[in-house]
Amino acid sequence: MNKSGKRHLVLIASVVAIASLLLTTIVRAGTSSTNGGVGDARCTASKTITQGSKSWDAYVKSNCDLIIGQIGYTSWTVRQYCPATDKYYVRFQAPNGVVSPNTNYFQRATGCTEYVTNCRNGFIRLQNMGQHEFKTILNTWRPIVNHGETFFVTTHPSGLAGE
Amino acid sequence: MKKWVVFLGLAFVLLTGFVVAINHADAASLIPLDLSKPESSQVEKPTASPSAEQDFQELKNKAQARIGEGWLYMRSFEKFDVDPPQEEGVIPLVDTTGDLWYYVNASGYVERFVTIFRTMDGKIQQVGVYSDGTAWNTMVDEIVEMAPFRFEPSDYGLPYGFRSPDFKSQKTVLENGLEVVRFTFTKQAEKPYKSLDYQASAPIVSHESSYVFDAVSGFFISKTDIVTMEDGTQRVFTYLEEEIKFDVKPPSDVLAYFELKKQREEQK
Repeated sequence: MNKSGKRHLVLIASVVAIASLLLTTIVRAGTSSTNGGVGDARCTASKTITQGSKSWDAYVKSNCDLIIGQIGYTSWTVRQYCPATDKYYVRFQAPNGVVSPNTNYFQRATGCTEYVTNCRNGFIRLQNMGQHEFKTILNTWRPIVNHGETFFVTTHPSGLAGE
Repeated sequence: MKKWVVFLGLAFVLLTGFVVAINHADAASLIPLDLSKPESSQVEKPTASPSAEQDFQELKNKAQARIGEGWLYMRSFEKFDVDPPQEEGVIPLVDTTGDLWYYVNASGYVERFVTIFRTMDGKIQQVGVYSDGTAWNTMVDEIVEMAPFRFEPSDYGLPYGFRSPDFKSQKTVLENGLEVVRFTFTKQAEKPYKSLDYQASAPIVSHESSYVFDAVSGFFISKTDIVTMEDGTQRVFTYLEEEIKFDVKPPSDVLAYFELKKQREEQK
C-alpha cells in the first residue's frame, strides 16, 4: 500500500472510532447541563443518566476552567417514577452536600441501580436531580440541574405524557 | 486503489455503526422517545416465539374487553429482597401494599385516579392523585402534568421480554385450580456488574422474569424477577401481585384526596 492509501486508512480508522463513540454515547447516555461561573472561573454543572438493559447509573458533575475554593453539590436525589400509578421509588438521597476543596473538578456516581419494573404499563421515568455548589471566597453559584430519561418496558405505550 | 480504500472504509463505518446499534438494541428502551408520538412509531418488531406473543395478545384482548366505563379497583402487593445499603444516601426498596382506584370514561381513558401505597405495618407511604391533567404525589409533594391515558390491563412490561430469544409461554393450573398462562424470559447482562441494590453480593450476571396471567379473564396475576449472581446465588429481586375488581367506588376518605389535591395546587 502506498503512502496515500495509508493516510486514507488512518483517516478512516479515526472516523470509525469517533462514529462508534458517538453512537454509543447517543444511545446509552443523556446529560443535562448548565453553564455559568463564579469569580473569574467559567463553570459547568451537569447531571447524566446512563442506561443498561437491566440497570442504570446517575452521575453528578461540577467542573470549572480554574481551581476554585469549593466544588461539588449541596443536594442530590436519584429516583424512579411510575406515571401510571404516580408512584416514586427514591433510590438515593444525599443526606448532606459534598464538596471538594481547592480543585476545578468534582464527579460522583450512584453505581448500577436496578430498574424497578413494577410500573403497570408503558414506561418508567428515571430522574437525577439536585443543586450544585461552586464557591470562591467572595462568590457562590448554586445552579439546580435536573435530568430525566424514559425507560420503556413495553411495546404498547399507554399514551401517558411524561414530564 | 484509492477508490477501493475509500469504499472499504465507508463500508466499515456503516457496518460498525450498525453493529453498535444492534448491540444496544437490547435496550431500545434506552433511546429517549418523544412521548407525543403516535403509538405506531414506537412499536418494536418481535424477535422470538410468535406463539407466546400471540398468547399474550389474546389474554390482553380478553381483559381489555372486560373494561368499561366506571371505577376500577386494584389491590397490589410488592416485595423486594435486596442487600442492606452499605453507603450513606442509598435508600433500599420497601415492601408495599397498594390500593388503586381508576375512573375510566366512556372512551376508555383514565380521567382520574387515586393510588395509596402502604408499608407492611399499614402506614401510608405515598398517595398519588390524578385529576384535571395533573398528578400530585404526597411523598415528594410535587405536581406534574399528565395527559389522560387509555386504560389498558396491566402487563408490567411483559412485552419487553419479546426481544429475548428464550421468551416463552406455558399454560398450567395452579394448586388452587386456577388456569393460568406463565410467561418467562431471561436477560443476560452485557458483563457482570455490581449493583447498588446488592452491594454485599457478587456481581449480577442475569435476570429472569416470570409473569402469570389468568387464562380465563386475561388479567395479570403476578410477576417475579430473579437475579443471578456470578457465584451462582439467586435472589428474588422483586415479587409483585395484583387483583382487579370492577364497579367498586372509592370510599369517601379516598375521594377526599381530590379535594386535598385542589387545595395543594392552590397553595403552590
